[in-house]
Amino acid sequence: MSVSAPKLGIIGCGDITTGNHLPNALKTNWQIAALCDGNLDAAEDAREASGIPDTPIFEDYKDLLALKDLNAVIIATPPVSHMPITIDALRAGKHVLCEKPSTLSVAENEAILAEAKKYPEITVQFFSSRFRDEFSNYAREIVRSGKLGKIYRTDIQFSLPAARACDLEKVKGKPHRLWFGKKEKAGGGPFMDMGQYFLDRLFHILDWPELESLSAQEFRGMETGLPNEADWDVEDHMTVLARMEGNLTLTMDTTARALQHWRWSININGTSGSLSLDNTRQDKFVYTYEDPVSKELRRETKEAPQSVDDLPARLFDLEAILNGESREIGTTPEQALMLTDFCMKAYQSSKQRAQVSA
Amino acid sequence: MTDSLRIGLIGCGDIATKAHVNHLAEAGYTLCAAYNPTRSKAEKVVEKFGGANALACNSLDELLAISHIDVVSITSPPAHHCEQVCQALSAGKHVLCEKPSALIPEENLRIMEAQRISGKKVCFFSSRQRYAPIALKAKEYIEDGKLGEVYRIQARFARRKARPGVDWLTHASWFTDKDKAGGGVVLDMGQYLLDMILDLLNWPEVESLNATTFKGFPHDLPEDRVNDVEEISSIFIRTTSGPLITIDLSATIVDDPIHSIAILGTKAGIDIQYSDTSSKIVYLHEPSGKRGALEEVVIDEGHDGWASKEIYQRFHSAIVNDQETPGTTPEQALRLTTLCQIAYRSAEEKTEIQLAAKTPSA
Repeated sequence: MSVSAPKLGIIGCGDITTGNHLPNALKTNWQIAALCDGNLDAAEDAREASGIPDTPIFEDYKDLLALKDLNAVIIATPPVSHMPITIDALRAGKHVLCEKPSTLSVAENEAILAEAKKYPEITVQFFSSRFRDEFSNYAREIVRSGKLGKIYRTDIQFSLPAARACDLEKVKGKPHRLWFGKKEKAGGGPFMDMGQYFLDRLFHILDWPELESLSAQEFRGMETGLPNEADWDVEDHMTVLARMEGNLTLTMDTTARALQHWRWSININGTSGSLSLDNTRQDKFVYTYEDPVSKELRRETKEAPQSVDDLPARLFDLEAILNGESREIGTTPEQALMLTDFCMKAYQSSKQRAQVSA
Repeated sequence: MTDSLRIGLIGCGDIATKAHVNHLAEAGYTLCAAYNPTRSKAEKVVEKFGGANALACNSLDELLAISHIDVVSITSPPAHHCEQVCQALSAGKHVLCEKPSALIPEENLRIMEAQRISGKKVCFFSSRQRYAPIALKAKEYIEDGKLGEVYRIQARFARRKARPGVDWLTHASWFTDKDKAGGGVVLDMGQYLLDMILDLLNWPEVESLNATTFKGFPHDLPEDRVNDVEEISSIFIRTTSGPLITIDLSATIVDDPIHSIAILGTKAGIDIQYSDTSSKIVYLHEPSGKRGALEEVVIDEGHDGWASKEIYQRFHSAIVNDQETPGTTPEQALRLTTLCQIAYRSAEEKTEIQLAAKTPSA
């Protein structure tokens, strides 16, 4: 049966939905069939702002999931509610597109994975894969080709001078955004929030190597400016040294508040070549190798894609899947479990000030 | 005591002839004698750089027996350092010695004991980065409190085709032999960064250390050549109530070289970028008080970032003016050797190794 105008429900009408998911979904074949927010006014505002005044809105996501003809839902609530909503969506037969981080604990990811296995015809994907773009696939092809030789080291750097919700002017008047600073709601700070994008991208390029052990240390102590500094209890900075299978070392720093220049990069080093995606290299993906004769360094570069909004591509792929085609999607529940596990082990290592093994 | 110190050189290999001899006169030393197992090398050195009546010696004993020599500078392979430092101290000489100071901590303990008995001064060249103007500026800024609480130091040192004994200095086969060199990139390049960073922080206690090493780049060495030293290492160091330190080292890389140190504090950051001619230290802060409005101030630039001559000068002042001996001191050298040994053990056992009581976590 062909699906020509698939129907989408969106659960959670916060900034990411109004600023990103709704406008992007409206560019596709998908029909926005329902909106939901625990605060019905937010759903109402999102509906009006998007010019879809006839779309039904709900306060309780279970009422949205009860709609028979919905094909898929976007879950864009704070991460603390991702697990129960994902499981209920699966049980209601809806394909799931869920924000990252997928969940706040390995147990929650395991629960999702167990449920997803019961519904093999329903897809579940998390948005931690947002940067699996053409860059990443190009890099993965180079890795798979063996051109890099033995890959021994990989590094992620992500550093923003002042980009925590408490640093941003727009948080004023939007105190609800402060959930980003509460560990019990957000699971962690920039490492949990942004680090998963980088880990997903790197693991995608490397075909999901297994973690063996890691040492990590976080730091919290940059002034927040909040009336009570203790209200912000997630890390400002996280550093990780991880041993991955195959004698591969992974090093990583993530921070959204540091007195250094904006930086984001992924570097992969092998004995006969390197891959680098680095904003200090003009946002180009650079493949470096040695000329076999002159021994000089040679480079192949790829320009950055224009946009990183990936929702239209996801919805396009999901539409194809609904019509019986096959697509590679992610972050899958298995992969999301690996990301959460990596993050939780890092927080555990930091707390215990000791290495944590897989 | 006259202002010019009389110095004897032990070891006349590449580091002696290309680096050390060039600093002696300017730093206030007169080269009086040189010893090298291949005598012709010592002859060339005294001929070109020696003072009047400078001698090429047939043995270490012969050199150490020259009573008017005040200081010896040891530039032999590291497997000889401990024995030669101890002998020179017994002979009543002040000692400067190349890094790594020794192969194992037990050797450092012997050196410390010999130094205590002799009362002479000892300094190792693992402090080459520490006394460069850039590092001194960084230390000044940290000690003045301009950075606030320093919580993270990240050092990277990746050279391209710079494996000694493999990519360059190919005749010096000891570099690739762990029994003779003590190790690879951790000892050879890592000690510079460890020394500088620990000194910036006034030698904090190391709580635990995790490290990985790798060796596996192609090479053209003959099959019978011992080649068992690491080419790559990543080191993760928790300090007691102090910053997290990481040091990433590559003796070779298929990419552009990197040599940088980032220091992050709660009030400001420092970024150091080294290059052969124009190293630069930048102070990053928010003078307007507006978060994210970073202002970049270049504190110093234009040097190569190394301080061999400055070490000779400081050592000279220490002797002539009876001032404090510059580092790397024997005690500090013991710490460097120990940390390197722990790094090797950590890499071998694939585990983080705890060295001191855990800092209570927040």
